[in-house]
Amino acid sequence: MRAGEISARLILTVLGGYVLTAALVSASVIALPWIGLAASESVLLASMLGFVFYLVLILWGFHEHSLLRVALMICIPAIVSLVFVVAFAPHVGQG
Amino acid sequence: MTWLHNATGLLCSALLFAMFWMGTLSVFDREIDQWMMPHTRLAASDRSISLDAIVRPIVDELGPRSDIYLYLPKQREPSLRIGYEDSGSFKKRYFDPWTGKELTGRESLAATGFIFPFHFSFHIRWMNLGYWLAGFLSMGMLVLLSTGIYAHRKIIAEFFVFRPDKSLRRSTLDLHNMTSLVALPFHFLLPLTGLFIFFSVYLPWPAGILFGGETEPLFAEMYGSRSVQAAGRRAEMASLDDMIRAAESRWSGRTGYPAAADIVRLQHWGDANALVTARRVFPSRQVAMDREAVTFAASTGEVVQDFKSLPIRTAHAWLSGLHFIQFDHWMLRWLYFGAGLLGCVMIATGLLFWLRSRERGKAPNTPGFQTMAAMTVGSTTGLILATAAFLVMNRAIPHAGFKVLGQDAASLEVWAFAVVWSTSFFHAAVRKERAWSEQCLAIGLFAASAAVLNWVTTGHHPAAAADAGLWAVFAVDAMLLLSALAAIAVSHRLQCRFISMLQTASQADASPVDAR
Repeated sequence: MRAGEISARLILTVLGGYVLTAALVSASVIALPWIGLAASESVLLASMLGFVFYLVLILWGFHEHSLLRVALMICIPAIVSLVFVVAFAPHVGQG
Repeated sequence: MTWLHNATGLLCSALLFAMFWMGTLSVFDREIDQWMMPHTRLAASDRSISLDAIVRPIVDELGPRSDIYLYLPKQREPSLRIGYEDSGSFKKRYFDPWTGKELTGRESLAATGFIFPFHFSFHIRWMNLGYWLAGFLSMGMLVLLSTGIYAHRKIIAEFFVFRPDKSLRRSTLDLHNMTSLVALPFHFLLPLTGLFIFFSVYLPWPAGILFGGETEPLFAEMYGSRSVQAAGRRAEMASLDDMIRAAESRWSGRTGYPAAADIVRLQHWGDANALVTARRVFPSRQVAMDREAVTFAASTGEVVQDFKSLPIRTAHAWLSGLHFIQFDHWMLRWLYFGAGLLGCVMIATGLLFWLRSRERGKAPNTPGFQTMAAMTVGSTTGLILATAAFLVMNRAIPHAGFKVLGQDAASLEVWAFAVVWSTSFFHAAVRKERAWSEQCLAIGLFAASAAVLNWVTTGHHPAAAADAGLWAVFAVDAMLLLSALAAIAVSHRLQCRFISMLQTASQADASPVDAR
């Protein structure tokens, strides 16, 4: 692998992957109480799954040949989850 | 994937070794505590103590405080510990649980105050950076294991292969594969559960999103802790013994076997609104920790809340308990210790294999290689040496009032650790290949003198300690002496190998034609 591609993959998976994980976990924390989970329970469940997800994401990011696909698969879900979080967080927080 | 394995290994190994080493020692943190604080050395007992007779006078004397924590004596920690906030710092005091006499002596951070926090925070408090570093390394460990299985694809077949007589490089790799595989579930679960324990540090945003950005209300919901305001009126307090017994009988009614409270929190003791919460943070016969709490109104002794954790928190408590192993299972504790040491060997051999693979050719002369070589020595033998220096310093200054440059005995130990550890890196850079055997020799001397100093300053040589029922002291001393023997033997072997290597090299120089 060339140095440029390696740096791109590192930044995408380690930093981008963290943002995606945090966003997905936050979205799950907001959504899980809708199916009846207590707030602290949804935080714990989503966070624990989040660590496993992050690990798999890093491994996949280095396994996948196409750098473009890695970039898209990290950025698009991250943006979607962030939008979801921004849209729903305040309402749940006040309720 | 192989590239990722090598890169992550180079980046994380030195500090991962420190995490593994400190974690391995933390398995016996209470035992090391007793060794380092001789005034807390008591023989373990199963008798239960009377809180009304022993604790009441102490807490009544402390006066009104928002929080006082009682750590009741256990098999591994036979003294009674009382902790509270005192002018900005958390004060720990030790008492004899049978007489109520305060056990005073030379203070030390010891294992629970230095070695254990080092394991997960490196004592870097600024902006939680130490925790983040530990989290990054745990993630690195998980990546290393996953990619390692891929990089050493033939690992299952190679597991049965150990070629100690083949080249050093080959046998290093064999040892690396063997130590990784033999405790693979352990190596994988420990970093993962470590991340679970500090989930709110690593994922602060999701943790606070439903709780107004605060972690306090999250923890209150997880652990069933209640907050209370003082009424400002004094009131007569009910019997502590009755409250603890009531909590314990509730628990044993549920589980069917005897259950003991281990941490009791007194909120605003002496006040009309005072609360007493009895917890089983480390149940003796259960992996899951801190799942149950019974809170009483201290003035009446009535139960205010009987808390039992929710299902997912219970799973989290079980996974955390797996990491902390505070339950009573001596065989498992020794297995953890062994698996931890295997982890240290795995990391060290990984680094060594990387070095040995690059030793031939031009690499050894590059500054990058030299730095990595010195890093490997300093972060492995150097760290072990620093730990031994920490113990030696503890016994070398047995008097409480001793100060150097305004540093008290407890901080001098930490200074000894820091100075020896950093010096070991310079030593390794200067002495190159010789540093291994020299640092091993130093470990041997330090470990042996720690055991001897313990005898001189406390009179508890291993036989005396065993005779007095101080098994913790006996075990720490035995470990020190065993390590000393092992380190000196290793040092001797390395010395011999180094001399024979020099001889071969000089012969080759003298007759370059014949050597071919």
